Amino acid sequence: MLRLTDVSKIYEGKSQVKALTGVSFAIESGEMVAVMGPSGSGKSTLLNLMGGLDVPTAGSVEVAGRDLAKEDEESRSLFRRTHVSYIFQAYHLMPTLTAAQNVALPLHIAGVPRKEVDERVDRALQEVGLGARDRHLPDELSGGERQRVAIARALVTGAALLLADEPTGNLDTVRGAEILALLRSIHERGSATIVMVTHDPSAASACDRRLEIRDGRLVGDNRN
Amino acid sequence: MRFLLSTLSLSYATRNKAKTFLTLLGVVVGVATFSAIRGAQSTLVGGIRSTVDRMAGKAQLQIAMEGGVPEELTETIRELPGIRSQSPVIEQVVVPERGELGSILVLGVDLLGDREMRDYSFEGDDADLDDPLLFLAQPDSVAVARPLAKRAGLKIGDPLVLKTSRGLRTVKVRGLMTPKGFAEAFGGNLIVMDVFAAQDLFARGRRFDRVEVRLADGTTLEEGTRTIEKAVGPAYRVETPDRRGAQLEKLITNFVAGFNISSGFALGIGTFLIFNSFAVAVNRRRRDIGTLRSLGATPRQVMLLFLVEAAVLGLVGGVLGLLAGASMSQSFLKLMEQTSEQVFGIINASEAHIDGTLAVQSVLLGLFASLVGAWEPSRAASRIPPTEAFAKGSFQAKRGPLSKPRVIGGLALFGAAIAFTFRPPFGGNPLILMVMGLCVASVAMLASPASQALIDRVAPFAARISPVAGRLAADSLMANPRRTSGTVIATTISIGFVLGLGGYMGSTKASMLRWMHDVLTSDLYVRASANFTNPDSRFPASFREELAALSGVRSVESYRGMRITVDGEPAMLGTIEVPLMMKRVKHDFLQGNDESMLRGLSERGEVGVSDNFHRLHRAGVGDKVTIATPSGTVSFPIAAVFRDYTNDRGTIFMDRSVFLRYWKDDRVDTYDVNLISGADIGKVRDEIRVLVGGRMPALISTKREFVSEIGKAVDAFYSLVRITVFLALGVAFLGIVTSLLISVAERTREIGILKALGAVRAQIARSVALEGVALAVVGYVLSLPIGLLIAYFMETTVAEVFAGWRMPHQTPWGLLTELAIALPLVSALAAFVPARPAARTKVTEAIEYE
Amino acid sequence: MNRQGAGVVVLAFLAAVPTARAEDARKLLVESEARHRTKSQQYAGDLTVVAKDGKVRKKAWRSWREGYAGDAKLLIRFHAPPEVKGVSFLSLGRPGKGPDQWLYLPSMKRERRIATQDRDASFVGTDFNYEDMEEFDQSKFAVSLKGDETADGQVCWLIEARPEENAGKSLYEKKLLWLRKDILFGVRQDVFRKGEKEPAKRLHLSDVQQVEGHWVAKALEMTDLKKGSRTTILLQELAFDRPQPAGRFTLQNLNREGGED
Repeated sequence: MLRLTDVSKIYEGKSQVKALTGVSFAIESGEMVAVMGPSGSGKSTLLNLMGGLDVPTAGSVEVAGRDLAKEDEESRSLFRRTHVSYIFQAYHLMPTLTAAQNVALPLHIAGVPRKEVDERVDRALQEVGLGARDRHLPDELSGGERQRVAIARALVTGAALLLADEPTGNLDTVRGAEILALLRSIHERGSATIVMVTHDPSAASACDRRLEIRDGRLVGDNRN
Repeated sequence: MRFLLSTLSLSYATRNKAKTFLTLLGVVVGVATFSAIRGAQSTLVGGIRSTVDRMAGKAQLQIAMEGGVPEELTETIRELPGIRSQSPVIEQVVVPERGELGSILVLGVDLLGDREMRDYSFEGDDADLDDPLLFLAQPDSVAVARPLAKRAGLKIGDPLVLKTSRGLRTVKVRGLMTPKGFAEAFGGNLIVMDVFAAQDLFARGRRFDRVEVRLADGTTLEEGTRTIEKAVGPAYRVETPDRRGAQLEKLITNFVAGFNISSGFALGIGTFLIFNSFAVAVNRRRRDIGTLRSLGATPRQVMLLFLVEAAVLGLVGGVLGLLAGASMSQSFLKLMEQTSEQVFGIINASEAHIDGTLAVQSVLLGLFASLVGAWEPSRAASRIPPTEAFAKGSFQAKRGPLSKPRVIGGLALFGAAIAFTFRPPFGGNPLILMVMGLCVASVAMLASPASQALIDRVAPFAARISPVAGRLAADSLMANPRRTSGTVIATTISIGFVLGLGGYMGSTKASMLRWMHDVLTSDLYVRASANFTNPDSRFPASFREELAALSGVRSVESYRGMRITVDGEPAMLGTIEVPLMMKRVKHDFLQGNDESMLRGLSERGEVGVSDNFHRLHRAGVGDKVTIATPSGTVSFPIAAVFRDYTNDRGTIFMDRSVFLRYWKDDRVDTYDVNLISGADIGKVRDEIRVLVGGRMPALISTKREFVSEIGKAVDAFYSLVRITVFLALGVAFLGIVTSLLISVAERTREIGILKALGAVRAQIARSVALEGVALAVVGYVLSLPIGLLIAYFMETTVAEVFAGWRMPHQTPWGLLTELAIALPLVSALAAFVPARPAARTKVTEAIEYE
Repeated sequence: MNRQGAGVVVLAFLAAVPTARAEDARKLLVESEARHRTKSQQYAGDLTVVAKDGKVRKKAWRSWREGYAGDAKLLIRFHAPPEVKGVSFLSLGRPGKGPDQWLYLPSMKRERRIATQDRDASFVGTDFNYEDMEEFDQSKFAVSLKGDETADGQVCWLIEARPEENAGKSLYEKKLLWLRKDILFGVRQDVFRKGEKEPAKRLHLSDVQQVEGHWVAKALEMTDLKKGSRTTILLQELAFDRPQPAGRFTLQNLNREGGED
């Protein structure tokens, strides 16, 4: 499903920042993997590379058999539409759109017919338990609910790879646990590959496998 | 895509009404100004033609001569073959004593013989003429168009007091006309009277303004024209009403051309406001862009999204602007009409209207301006890497592309603008657009690096003024170069134009004043008519002796001006006793000298030409000017070329004796009276008043009064340019205000953080205001080179292309000072007003804002 | 095409015996002219114009005529109401052409020529136009006899007159003339504008009596059938064949204000 080979990422600026150095690993289809590490260890960079939001300075990032590092911006975007979904710590919902409209967004970007959109949005919202709140704006939802909307948005495309960046980071323990349970149940019900960046050990323990990053290097790869 | 627009963009617009409104305002102001000016302009030009056409009625040819057509001409034409009918006409615009009625066009026609020309009737349902015999028998009889009668509350038998060159005259309403056909001319503000009564009322002597001719069936226009021309000689113009309209339009070409610049400018600024708004919007919506990208939106989709938003805004703004423009254009038109009447003696009164083509043009321009304005920001938006979009602040902090190619490109464009200014490769509107475009483009490229460089210097200075607020402002300015440069560009371009146009006007006025000071050196000026270019009354030549006989008078010169045509272009002919005039006037010669001028004009029958005639007609000493005179076509050698601002289409001077010989018309416009030194001007003036007393109309002015009256006419010519300057100023301020308002709204989060860090409200507000001032100062400094270049461009290149003049440059110190004071004040206010509520937001809310 | 000088001045037609129609009509008119021709005529006229809405305007003039029909010279001077006093009209017949006509306005102290093209204009606001002010000159018309008809209780010849092309332009297509059979005196005229089937105006001559041995109608009424207005002229102080002072019918005299005629 996902294979990183000797990936390095260097940010050029006033001073050079080495975010990742020689990282290699593979994730099989259907795995649920936690990427752990302290702040600034390079785990978010890793996630961005896996989704094609960014390209490595060196090495290759193969997702579903395609080397994203070699593709241009445009084709990576098109690839993302169908293959990758993101869940962010800060939700990144469009503040001016309702829950349902936010969920529908990726389908519209992909040009899915209207009728099908409604259907799939309903299903996704049901799946995350928010069927009744589809007409609310993000501002009118709680943190946990917002993250559920974001998850519904990730699910709706049916992408095989689900990338979550600290999905519980902005939530209290109870809500966080609920979100983890939701992700877990999604994983168990379907066949989605989930990669979750977190520094919360309890979040990591919900996963099948745990990768540890420190100072831009892979330092651990354990199965629960 | 449709969903993205209909939901994402729309929801964004409705939830950010104020910001959307400001963006829209840019388009609206631009399009409104453009459509208002163009609407008024085309109505004016079209109105002149339609007034000429309507008034002409069924007349196919008009015979006219400068100074009027003598009555005898009608006998000459009467029996010519191919002439079906003819009718003399006198046309005069008067102001009634009741000024609120507006100018009224008085049409004097031969009531006994005019039915062939114009469709009207004083009988039946069309009109109500109380008693035709009475109407004819009493010279004060007028027939009033019904709309005017209604407005003025006039009925049959009522008096109406008119201001004429002979003072207040009362006419009596003895008929009413229903506006149809020619009675609609001049917006229906028309009265008709007998042409012979009009001769008397308007001091025309035994002359008509023109004779209109209708040809017999089967006679072509060419045949008719040829027959008449042969019979009347070359001094008469025999032309179709359409051609006459075209000639009149030509007279006001220069006046009208200025509006193209103004409307182009308005649109340019509108475009810039849009650019700024979108640049800010892209910045603000960075995170949303990142989200879209992470959801699989391609860069192209993102760009398209912004462009379509811009297009929608452009269309909506275009339509709103068009509506606003339509309502503004009437007042613009009034002003233009006043000027064209006052300065050129061309009459017109119409309702301003914006026709279909212009409406479509305006809306399309709104659309186009929006797309142009949004292009770069949209592209920038599409290029934002999704990863960076989420990283707060990193974008704002990033310096604009300070790339060398950009700076070099900007400098090259500015260089090109300078090059075109000094060596124009072509002329007309394309040149103006080219130079203005180059200026704008170079500002757009250079403003960002230049403003960064300047702000790096200005900001620490601000910090020194006020330790806390100043430091905050300085930090904010230096930390947000992108946001800053948008505001600076807007200010620079707007103020650049204001300085350019304002400076040009200042230089023009100054050179004209200096010239008048050199040329108008007589002690008293006795004029027959208040209208300089198109006098409605003249003195008999014999009056000169009477003036000269007064005690205290040393000499009297008789000036007579006449509009003529040289090589198909309008020009002015000025005639005077040259030897007398040369004694008191110091000319600024481009070719020839006092000696050659005096000799040439007074002894050899040559002419002197103004500098602008010299440039417009490419004729100088050694060349000849060919003029059609009543005694035949004559070629006059040019004896000298000198600086002269009498007429914007060029002036030819000749000695009065030469004029009399060829024109055989000894009437005089103005007597320049020179006094013996020590004579009492007031006393002589009183004596002249007594001399004139009731015999003829006369305006007696001292040198100073005369200069100020001419100054007023010059002002009228530039009245719309002045309005444009004000408009530019308004737009400049709007640009500054908009960008500051947006920028403050952007900073709600930063303000929250500042408050969290313990800044008090007043400090924050003050820092924002200081920031506004700093931005204004930077914009002002950067606008100086642009403004001076534009001013120079207008004074030399543009003035030369249009009027053949090159105005010596005069730095507009007054304007510079005014702007230096007004600009920071307005900016501070523009920043302060939104900063106060922003500073009042709760810390938590402000931080949550994003 | 027809030019009828009936107008304000008295007109008279005479008839002979009807035979071949065109020839008869011509004979009748020539005879009428011969019978009623006078060297001169003068009178004081009272003019009343009654508009359709009933509004009445009155004026008074004195009229002098020398010659007859095609060679007539005519001078009219208004003397009431005071506002129009001195306004004068001079018409000088030119054989074979339309006459020269001028209007004199004392307020402007100058005469105004009535251009040929303006003969359709109303003569000083009456129902007569300038063409109507010309004397009827049968020589400028093609005439034909249309039978006889009673007008005002009198048996009349009905003659149609169409203006000749070369006799100057006319406003009219044709005129119908009613000529009393007994005295060959015209008592009615209907005039038809070009292209119109119905008469535009109708002139009635009434109060026909003999003055100084000449038949004359002392009342004329022109009715504008379209506008519904009418103009009547009552003739008083009629006199015939008085010697006219030399220069009376000249421009110089016209311009002499209030010229004693």
